[in-house]
Formats: sequence, structure tokens, C-alpha cells
Amino acid sequence: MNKKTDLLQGTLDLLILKTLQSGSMHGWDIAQRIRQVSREILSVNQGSLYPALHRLEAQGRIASEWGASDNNRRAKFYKLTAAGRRQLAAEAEAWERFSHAVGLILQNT
Amino acid sequence: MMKALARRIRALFNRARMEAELDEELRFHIEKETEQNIARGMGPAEARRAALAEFGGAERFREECRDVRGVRLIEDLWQDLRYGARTLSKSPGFTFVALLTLALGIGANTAIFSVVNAVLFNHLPYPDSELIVSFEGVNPSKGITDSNMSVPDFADWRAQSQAFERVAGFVTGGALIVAGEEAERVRGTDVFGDFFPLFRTDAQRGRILLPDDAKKGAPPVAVLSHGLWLRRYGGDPSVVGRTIMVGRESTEIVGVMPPGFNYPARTEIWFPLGVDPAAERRDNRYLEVVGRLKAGATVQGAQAELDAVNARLAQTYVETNSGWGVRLTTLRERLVGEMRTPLLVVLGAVALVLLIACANVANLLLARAASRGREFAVRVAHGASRSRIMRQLLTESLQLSLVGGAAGVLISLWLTRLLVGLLPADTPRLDEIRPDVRVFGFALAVSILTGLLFGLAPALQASRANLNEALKEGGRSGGEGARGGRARSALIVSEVALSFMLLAGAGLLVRSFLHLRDVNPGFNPGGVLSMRISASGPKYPAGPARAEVYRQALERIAALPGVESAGAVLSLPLGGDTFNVGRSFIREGRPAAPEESANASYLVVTPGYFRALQIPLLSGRGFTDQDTEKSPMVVVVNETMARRFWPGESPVGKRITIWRDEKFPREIVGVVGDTRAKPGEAAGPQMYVPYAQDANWGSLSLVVRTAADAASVAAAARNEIHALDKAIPVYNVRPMGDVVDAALAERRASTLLVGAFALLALLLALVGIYGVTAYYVTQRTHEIGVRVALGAQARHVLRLVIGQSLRLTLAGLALGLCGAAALTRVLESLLYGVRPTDPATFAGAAALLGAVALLACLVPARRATKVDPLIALRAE
Repeated sequence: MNKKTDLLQGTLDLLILKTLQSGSMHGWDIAQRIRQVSREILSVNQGSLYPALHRLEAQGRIASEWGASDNNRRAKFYKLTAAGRRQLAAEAEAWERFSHAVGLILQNT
Repeated sequence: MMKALARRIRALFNRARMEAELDEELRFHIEKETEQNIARGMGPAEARRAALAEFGGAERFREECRDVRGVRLIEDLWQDLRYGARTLSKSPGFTFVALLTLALGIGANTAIFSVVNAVLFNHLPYPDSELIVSFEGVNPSKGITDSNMSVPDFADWRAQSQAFERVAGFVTGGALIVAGEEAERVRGTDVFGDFFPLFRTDAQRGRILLPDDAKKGAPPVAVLSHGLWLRRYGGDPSVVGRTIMVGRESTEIVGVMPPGFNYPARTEIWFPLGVDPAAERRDNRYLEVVGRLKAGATVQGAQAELDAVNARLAQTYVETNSGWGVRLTTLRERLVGEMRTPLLVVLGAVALVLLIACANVANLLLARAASRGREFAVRVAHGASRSRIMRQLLTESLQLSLVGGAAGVLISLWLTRLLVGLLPADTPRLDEIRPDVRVFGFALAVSILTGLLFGLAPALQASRANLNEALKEGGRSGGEGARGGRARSALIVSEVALSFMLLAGAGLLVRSFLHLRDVNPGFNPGGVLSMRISASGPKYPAGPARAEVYRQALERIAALPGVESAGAVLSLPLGGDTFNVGRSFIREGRPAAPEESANASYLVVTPGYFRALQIPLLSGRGFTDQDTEKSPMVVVVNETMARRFWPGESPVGKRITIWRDEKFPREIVGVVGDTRAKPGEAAGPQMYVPYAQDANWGSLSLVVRTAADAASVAAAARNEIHALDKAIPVYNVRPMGDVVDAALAERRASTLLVGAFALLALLLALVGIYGVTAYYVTQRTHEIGVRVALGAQARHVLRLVIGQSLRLTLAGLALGLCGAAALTRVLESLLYGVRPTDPATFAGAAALLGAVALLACLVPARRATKVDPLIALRAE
């Protein structure tokens, strides 16, 4: 809990897209999932999450629909679009290369 | 791309729904978060608070979400507009003063611009009018400009130049329309060449004049202006084909021109001019010439071509054409060239007034912004960005300026009518002044610029406001920081500077006008009545018969009770008859080479002329009834001619020949004082010849010196002339004082306008300084209270408050002095008898402005001395 890492600029989109790969979910779920999967290291500030969601939706990477949540309340669910899937693939690969390169430098110097 | 656009548009229209959905989404999130917090063991209230805290500033974040939707700008604008309208209507006093200031400023600017637009900017009302050029005869070696031209030269230009599509000549004059007993004198023009086709204007009814109409033996015809057709013939269509009496000649009306065609100025009837270039003399220059350039030809090109033709003519016809040339200008430039400087000066003056008005409104807004500081601070605290607040304030300013501008346009429609009435009636293109698209565009642009200008300072100030300070200060008295104080000081300084520039300029123009009015024109117009009469046609052939009818008419008028003396002249001084005849002369005993010949104004007069106008006789004698065509030929010269051509000796007894018009010498019998042709120009050489010895002129101006009421004498004089012959038209009846006034009319109008604007500027400066000082006192009530409590006397308080305002005024005056010194140079051509940096005028303007500033801060300063320290301190 106390060793949170601030998200690098631009990585939030990648995390959202990746999280949505497993199916549609609402904003709060997305934040929870990121926190859990990263073992509480990464925490998404809600203040940036929703603008990011709206931005991705405006860009056509994700789509939204209103549905019932687990306890039957109305919630807005987001899911990946085809464009979002392509974007995810491209960004994931770019991230792999980037972190690999950073790793190499950290180990060898 | 299209999809994105569609989404934005949808978002714009579904605004309420999208807002609701956003709220719902956020609410859901907070509830989930709260649940989780409870699950972790928090109490419900604490859980919710923690959830909200984690969420951060909800408003800022909502705005970010809206941002993403890309409709933010439009939504904000709508919100700002409603908000602005609400705030403005909440302070009606402020809104009224600001709107009134703006409406007057923008209205005055729009009115002046509609005049400038019509006179200077708009094309003449003829198709492709920018290709129409005006010819002006010049002879640099003799210093002659603006001369008419001869028919043979005209024919050569037409034949030998390629740049012109058409050229036409014309001669302006009067025409006497007779119908039954009633004769009317109208302005008529004889036209020669492709006159109407050159203007690409066809007759509205009937036809235009054709080349055959000018042929020898063709029946006399005429074309009427639309105005004359309406006025005299009631717009009767059957007038085309009717025969009317023009002078002694029955003339068929063949056409009526459309409204708006009145070239040359105020012409009401056109006749064909039948002349044969081969029979004309090259030194008989009486034709005015216009031309239409071929598409693609330039004025410079045509000028070069004409220069070449004229050079050849000067070689071939040395005696008549040596030194003579032509200057081409576009017709528009020719018509309005003289109006440019005065009009632009007036436009500049009214623009300065608007700037001052802007400064005042900006000051009002600054004061308001200061008292609204708390409102902005609260909005910033709620997550509004600074640019957002700036945008909102600018929207408010623009709202003000656009509403003010709309009211201004209405005012300008009325002001324009007022202006047209104020301008002299012979101002070119006066009838073309009306609001058009360009005028409305100007008003809109000025409104927007004004709004940005006066809104910028308050907006910048508000957006820079320090949040903590604003909230703290706002808690007390809604004060403003030092920066606001500096901004308003700068505004006052510039306001004073601008007012000073305007006042100094107006002062210079007024002094010039007064000088000009006091200039001695060389005659005494007081109590003199003038009128023009025409005795011509077969009944009064040039020569003794014509001289006799004028002699009889003057004799009858001079015998009237109340009349002291009466005389007649070819053309009145001070441009009263708008024309001047110039002739060359040769002094006897000197070589008569053409380049040695000298030029002078040529005037025929009757014996009573000098006495009636009280033109002083300096030596020799004037004319008498004994100077006839049979007696020795005589001439009287003016002082300038005597001094210039017979320096150091008396010209009386010398002989001159008025070259090429007369083949005989005249003896100079007297020298009279100069009379001016223009108020601001010294007289040139003038020579007077008795009418009896040159009775070729059909129309003369009568001058009648009266001891009685001029109006009753006017009627009696007209009766005497009509008793002689009912058919002699009497027109242009007016006191000589009117001739003097008319010579200054244009200058009077522009001086009056600039003067009025300067007074308006003074008033605005008064209001501005008062407002700032009053605000200063309100802001410093506490401080003044403390000072009084500590023993400050009333005079100390006065000095504090007045000193503050006067420092700003002095800074403004210093700045204005520099500005005026630079700016009044553009007035130079309009000044007479005063230099552009006249110290007395500048000192006067500074003193006036200083006095007004003192007056403006006196009331608030006195209020400051009444501050009760107990109340001021308790108000804390």
C-alpha cells in the first residue's frame, strides 16, 4: 500500500486497454483490477481514470454501454473496439521493447 | 473524421443527457468506493469522505471529461453569455453608463466612417469607374495648373494615344430654361466626344446624345438629369420628344438620365457641343477633358504616352503649345483629393474619442473586477482554470461592446444625416453617403476590437488574482491589489494624453479658422448684396447693346432707396462664382517672346464695382461711364501686379497688351488693392478692364452696397431688372457675407467636428478622472481615517487625494505633449497662421485639461476630508 508507483505519462491508456482485453467492465472495476493485478504497486487516480476513459472513447478505442452491475445498479461498462485491440497490440509491443532496453541498461552499466 | 464530428454535434445537442450520465457514472464510482471502505472497517460517513477525498476535485475533473468531448468551447460560450447577461443586468447603472459611452463612441465613428467611405473609399457610381481619368492642363514654366484644354489638342490626344478606350470633352455653364413667363437657370454642360458611353451609362428614358447631334445643322437636342425631370416635369414620361425653350432656342428633349448620374457635379441638362477641331485655335483653352483607359492600361502608361504626344505638339506648334502638358489623375482622386486630409483628420479625431471611451469603460470594468475578486477566487477554488475566467470576462466585454455597437449603429444613422446637413452643399459625392455593407462591417469590427481592448486589462488582472489574497481581502472590503491600481493609473495617464492630443489639434484648427476669418479679403463684404444676371442671346449681342443693358440695370438699382452704390464683375472674389479667367499680357517696350509673357487674373467690371465692394484705389483713377468702346482703351491693375511687374516705379501711364485676345495696347490708369481668390492664399496679379470695352461676357455678378435691409433691396433690385426685361434671369441672390462664409464652409465643418470631438474627449476625461479618484477615496477610507485619527488636517487629506490625481494628469500631459508634437504635423496643410507646435495653443490645452482634472477630483477629495475616523475605523 505504501509503495505506490506513479504511472508514467501515457501508460494509463495501455493499462486500461490491457485490462479491458479480458472483457467489458466499469470504471471502478478497471481501477480495482489494475491495483490488484499490479499487487497494489500501481494505483490509478480516479481523477485521471475517467478523463482517460472518455478520451479513449472519443478516439474510438473503446466503446461504452449502460448495464446492470453485480448488485443490479446501473453502471457504464466499457469494452475494447477493433481499433482498441490494434492499438493495444502496438502499444504493448512498444512497451516491451522499451522496458527491455531500459532493463539492459540498468543491468550492464 | 465525419464520425467524430457527428459525435461532437450529438454531444452538443444531448448536453443535458451527457451531463446526467457523467454524474451517474461518478456517483456509481463513489458508492463502490464507499462500500469498499466500509468493508475495510470504516464507519459509513468516514468511508464516504475517504472516497470523495480520493476522488479529488470533482468539478475540475468533470471539466476535463467535458474537454474530452470537444464541445467545451461552445458550451462554455453559451454558459458565459447567459452568465454575462445576468451579471450585467444585475448592475444596471454600470451597464447603462458603459453602453452609453460605447454607443456614442462607436456611433460617432460609424457616422464619420460612412462619410469617409462614400467620399473617399467607394468607387464612383459608374461601371469600371476606376478606369476613368481626368485631364488637367498644366504649364510648369508659367506655374499654371488646373487649366482647361483646347479642342485641337484634345483631337490630337484622341488620335495619337493608344491607352484610351474613349475620351470626351465638356464645357460647363448655365442654361436658361424658359417655359411661359417663368425662366429658370440650371447648370448645363455641353459635351463633346464619347461622353455618355465613357461613363457606360445609358439614358433611363429616350436616348443619350449621339455624334450626329453635334453636326452642323442638326436640330438642337438635350438630355435631362433625373432630378430636373422630376422637379420641373413631375416625372412625366411624355417629356421625351417634347420641345422646350432653352434660352432663345427651341430644343427637343431626347432623353432622361438615370438618378445618380450628374457628372460634372450637379449638371441638370446636357447639350451636344458642336465644334470643328480644324477651325479651333490651340491657345483657346476652354475644354475640360475626361478619358476611359482601356482595360489593363495604367494611369502612368497613359501619362507617358500623352507626354510624348505633347512633346511633339510643343515642337510643331511652338507659339501655342510650348511648355504645355497634361496631368492625368483618376477621376475619383480629382473629385475628392482635397477632401482627403480634412476627412482623415476628422476620422482620426473620432477614433481618439473612441480610445478614450474604451479607457473609461476599462476603468469601470477594473473597478467591478476588483469588487468581483471574491467571485473569481471562489470559482478558481472550485477548479475553474484561469484561462476559463479570462474567457468569461472577455465574453462579458464583447457582449457589452456588441450591444453598444448595435445601439451605436442606430445612433450613426441619425448622426450621418446630421453630418450631411453640416457639410457644405458642394461637397463632392454628398448624395452618395448612405450606410452600406462596408459601413456595417466597420461597425462590427470596431465593436469587437473595442470589446477586446477594454476587456483585456480587467481580464488579465482577474486571471492573475492571487487566490488567498483575494479571499482574504475580499472578506474585508473587496479591495484590489497593487496591480489593479497600476492598471487604472495607466489608463488615466493614456486617457489624459489622448485628450490632450485631441484638444491641441482642435485648438490649432480653431485658431487657424479664426485667423482665416479675420483675414482681410481685400474688400468689405458688410452690407453688400450679390446676384448674378445673364443678358445674352440674339436680343443682347456681344458689344454695345449688351453693355447698355447692364448699365441701365445698374443705374436703376443704384437709384433705389437704401442703395449706396452698385457695380458688376465677371467673377466674384473668394471663389464666389467658382471660376477665374486668366490671360497673358505683354508690357510695352519689352520683347514679346512667349516665354516672357506674364499671366494675370482677368476681370471685366463696371465703373461702380470698386466703390460697391470698397476696394481701395491706391493711385490713378478707377473707371467711369466715359470709358466706352470708343474712348481710349484702359486697364486697372492690382497692387501685386504693380509690384511684381513694375517694381520700384508707378505703373500708371504704362501700357500693356492682353496678348492674343486683343491686338491693341491698353493704358494702365489706376492701381487698386488686392482681392483674394481663396481665404488662405495671397492674391495673384489681377487686371481689370471696363465692361464697356469688352462686353463679350453674357453673365455678370452684381454687387450692391446697401444702407437698408438687404432682403428688401434684393426684391426691389430683382423688380428693377425685370422691369427692364422679364426674360433676364436673376439667380444666386445672396449677401456677400454668404460668399465669404461659403469660402470657409468646408473648413468650418471640419473644425467644428474636431472641436466637438475634443469637447467630448474632455468630458470623457472628466468622468474618467472623477471615477478613479472617487474609487481611490473609497479604497483608502480606512487609511484616511487612520491619518485623521493621528492628527492629519483636512488640507493634508486634500493634498493626498488631489496630489494622487494630479500626478497622473501631469504624466498624461507630458505623454500627450510628445504625442501632439508628433501628430499635429499631419495637420500642417490645414493650418493657417499658426505652427503645428504652437506653444500658446499647447499651453492653453494643457491648462484647460489641468483645470478639468482638478475639477474632477475636487468632489471626491472634499468627500475624503469629511471622513469620520471613528466610523472609518469601526467599519473594520
